[in-house]
Amino acid sequence: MSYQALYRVWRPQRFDELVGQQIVTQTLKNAIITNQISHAYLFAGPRGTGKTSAAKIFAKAVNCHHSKDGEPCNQCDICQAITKGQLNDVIEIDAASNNGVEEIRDIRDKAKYAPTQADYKVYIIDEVHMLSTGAFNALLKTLEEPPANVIFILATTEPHKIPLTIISRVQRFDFRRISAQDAFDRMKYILDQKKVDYEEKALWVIANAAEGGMRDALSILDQVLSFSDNEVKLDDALLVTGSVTKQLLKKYFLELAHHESANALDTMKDILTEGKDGQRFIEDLISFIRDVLLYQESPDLISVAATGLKDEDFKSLSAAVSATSLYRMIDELNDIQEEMRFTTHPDVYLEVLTVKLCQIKDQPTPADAQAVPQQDTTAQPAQPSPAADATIKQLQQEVQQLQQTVQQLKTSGGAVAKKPAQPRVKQRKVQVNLGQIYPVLGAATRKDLVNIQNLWEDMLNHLTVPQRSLLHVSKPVAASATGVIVAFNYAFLFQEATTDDNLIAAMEGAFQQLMGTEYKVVFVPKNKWPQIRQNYIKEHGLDRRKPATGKTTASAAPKSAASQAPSQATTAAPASQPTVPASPEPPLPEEPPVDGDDDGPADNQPAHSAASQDPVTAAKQLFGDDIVKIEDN
Amino acid sequence: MAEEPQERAERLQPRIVARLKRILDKHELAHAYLFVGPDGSGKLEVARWLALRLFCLHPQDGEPDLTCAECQRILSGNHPDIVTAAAEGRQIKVDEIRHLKAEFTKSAMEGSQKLFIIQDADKMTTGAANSLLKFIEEPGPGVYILMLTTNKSAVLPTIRSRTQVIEMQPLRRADLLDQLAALEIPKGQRLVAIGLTDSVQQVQEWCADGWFAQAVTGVSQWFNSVSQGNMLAFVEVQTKLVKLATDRDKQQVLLDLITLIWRDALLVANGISDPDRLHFVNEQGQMQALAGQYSMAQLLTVSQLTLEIRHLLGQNVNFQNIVEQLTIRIVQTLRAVGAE
Ligand SMILES: Nc1ncnc2c1ncn2[C@@H]1O[C@H](COP(=O)(O)OP(=O)(O)OP(=O)(O)O)[C@@H](O)[C@H]1O
Ligand SMILES: [Mg+2]
Ligand SMILES: [Zn+2]
Ligand SMILES: [Zn+2]
Repeated sequence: MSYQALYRVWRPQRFDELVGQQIVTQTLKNAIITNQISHAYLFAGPRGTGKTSAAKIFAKAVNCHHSKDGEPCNQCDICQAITKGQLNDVIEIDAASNNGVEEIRDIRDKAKYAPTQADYKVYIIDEVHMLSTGAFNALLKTLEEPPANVIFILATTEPHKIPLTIISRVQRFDFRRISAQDAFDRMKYILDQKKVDYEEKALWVIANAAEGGMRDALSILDQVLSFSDNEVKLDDALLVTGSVTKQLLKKYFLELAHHESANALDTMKDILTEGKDGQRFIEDLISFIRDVLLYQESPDLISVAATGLKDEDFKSLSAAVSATSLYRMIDELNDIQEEMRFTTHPDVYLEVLTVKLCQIKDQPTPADAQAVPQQDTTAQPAQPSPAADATIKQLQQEVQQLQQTVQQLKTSGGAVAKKPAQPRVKQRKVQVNLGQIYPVLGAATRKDLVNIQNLWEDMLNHLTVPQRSLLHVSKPVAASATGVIVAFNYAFLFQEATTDDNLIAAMEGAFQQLMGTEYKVVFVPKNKWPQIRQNYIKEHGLDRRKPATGKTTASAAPKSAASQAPSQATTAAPASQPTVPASPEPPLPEEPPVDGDDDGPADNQPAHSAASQDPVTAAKQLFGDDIVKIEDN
Repeated sequence: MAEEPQERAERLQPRIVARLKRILDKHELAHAYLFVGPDGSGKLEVARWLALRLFCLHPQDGEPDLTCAECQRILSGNHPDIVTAAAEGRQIKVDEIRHLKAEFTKSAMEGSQKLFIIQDADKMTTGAANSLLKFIEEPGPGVYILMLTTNKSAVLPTIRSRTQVIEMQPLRRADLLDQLAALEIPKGQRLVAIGLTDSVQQVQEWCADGWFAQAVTGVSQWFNSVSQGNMLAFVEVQTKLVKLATDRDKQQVLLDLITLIWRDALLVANGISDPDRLHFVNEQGQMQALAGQYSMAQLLTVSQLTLEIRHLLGQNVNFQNIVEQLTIRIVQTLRAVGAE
């Protein structure tokens, strides 16, 4: 008898067992209760968050004759057959292995026949992003003329690869990454059921290492369990996840803070010789610094228990370094994380990083400001000062002479490639979601923004204290009748907020109560905002009344982000001002995410018509004078 | 070396083999694993050991006996229930995976076991990787999948999520040096080589015909010029380094040597003088001098420049072009702010 992985044994069989997806599951249950079933759904979201599980639960719930409160009974023959994958009317298709036109046509032909045993025929098309263009077209045809009593559920981790024509014909549900708290609770529940002992600290280590995937958490838990007899121990959890202990992290952090590079390099050596995972180390360090920052902002922003450190630790840690320096550290770490992704020699990166982090000082000396490259993945010299210009000229001459010498030396014709190196586009973990921003922008009006500004304080009153302090440095910058865009002063807080699902849910809930309609909240980092808005205006033109699709945004933004880099390197941020200095901002996604709105392209058009206006005037009309001025870039 | 496969696995990864033994004893082997570790760390050896152990008819003390019919078939490389995929060229394509999956479902017998080994899991194309997702999430009973990679973050997150990730222990520096010494590789080269790889076999290949010795000398000379801001280094690229860069692998090694020597310089400048931490020990004097000559910021900039060059090669920029550009930019950096 083979061993069954935890994540298979504990596959949720009821909506209530799916953690962290309350909005999705509630809506699906309501659909069942009120018998308002769509003929096509899209389940989108990161790996291991419950998409495939939800699809199967839904297939049961619509067909179960004993369903209660929208949940399947899991007892009747129909439910059990579906659970076992033996009901002919529920068909699971692996789109990654059957991605051709023929296969989808086949579905189309068979979908015509009425279900044999169940009320509804349910096609679960999993990993749907892998369909070929032809197959998508075939699928589109089916979705356009849906056969009676057939439901399609498409599931994917990469919704931006699905054509808009398909998206507009499905009801979309966005599954969210699982918070550490939810992962922790679910593991606790499973272990209690299994009567296995555990150290809570171990579960936190696992929950954090899982990075938003519930399946990932259970895979790690499985492995930790395989180490010991019926117990989950902290040491094993640290070992399996390759996590550095908090004590070692603390030591390293303080060495950085005190600019003790030799000591910090020694600590780094210890970390590396223990075989810790470089990427994991960076991630651990980022969340460590993040916790310190949040603690500085307000101690109740973090749950100290979840960090594995004590309150005293945080007091001394947050006294050691200023927020400015902490932001710079996070930026460096974000950069290196991306660069390291494809290296097979991470050690050198980590050593260079260590020296670099030790150089971060609150008061940059002139020499530092000039020579420490803030970022330099572009193929540009870091500081084009007059002195440097002269050096460059001189060098160019030398090179010319040398090239002549070399020419004579040349034996074979090792031709020099002309093509300059492509600067690599950096990506941050959390990206601006144009798919959600554009629909709001497309319908934004000045009136709506004023309305939201008036409601802002009331909305804040619906939130918890930590949530409120996170919003301290944010404000609404554009609004439509159905959504608002909120800009954050710091890129880092933007990241924090964007990954905080509870925050978004709480804000949306508050607005819904205050306004009586569903309301969507989208975040942007403030320094990206002018660019986003400009691009939108450029691409869509305010005069054309084009629905916002996000389709045409692909190229412009990343390029401009890269070309801004050299100039950023020359402007050292004044130390007193806690901006994110020369931060490489979260670039717009390389591939535009498609329309993130559940309703597809917005059909009520913006109220303004601004034919032949220049973008700035148009923008002023749209967002109001003050905002355009302030945000001017 | 007449070392048995299981001895090699145990020598390279004693802790992991011990762990797997315990897991097998408890009958808790998961259906999918991802083995992560650099070349030479013994991923494939551990996978082979596991294959033998899994199929052996008479395992003894947790070890395969190597003599039974099953062991014999595995050792001769043609066991029908063990299927291996490896990158041919640079990628593993979707057709290969499809073929292997078909192979698997064909002869699935009641109560039998099947093992699917994918080497270079990071080399799977997007199509190939995605077509595995369903298969590796819930394979039938008795089906095991082992995926091997040198670079975990290049493996699709959806794949990683479905596996138990096992990181190979890094080899101990001393062990590696001993093994290289036993092969009579000169000390200077040994020390440099371990900065680039954990694979003894790899080092042996580099050392053939004295190539590695020349490479180390070439890079050291170039370093001595360029670190003085001397544009002679530009000429040395053509006269010394390009000649050595005869194929892609060698180009890579040369670039890694450049990164490594500047890494040493940076460490020395930060007060690390323990020779055990350095690779180019012969240049230590010169490096010490640099620390007084340039600011930390300058040395950092240079180190970072050298970290970018591997990416450039990956983007098919010509080797000579890369190193010439690098040389210019280093000299520029070292001269621009200048030693006061
Ligand atoms: N929200 C959740 N609540 C509880 N368990 C979950 C949840 N999401 C995932 N899991 C666990 O992970 C396993 C896999 O989940 P599922 O197949 O639904 O993920 P998915 O979203 O389809 O992921 P992928 O995109 O990688 O296919 C489940 O069997 C369950 O053990
Ligand atoms: Mg799935
Ligand atoms: Zn039922
Ligand atoms: Zn045997």
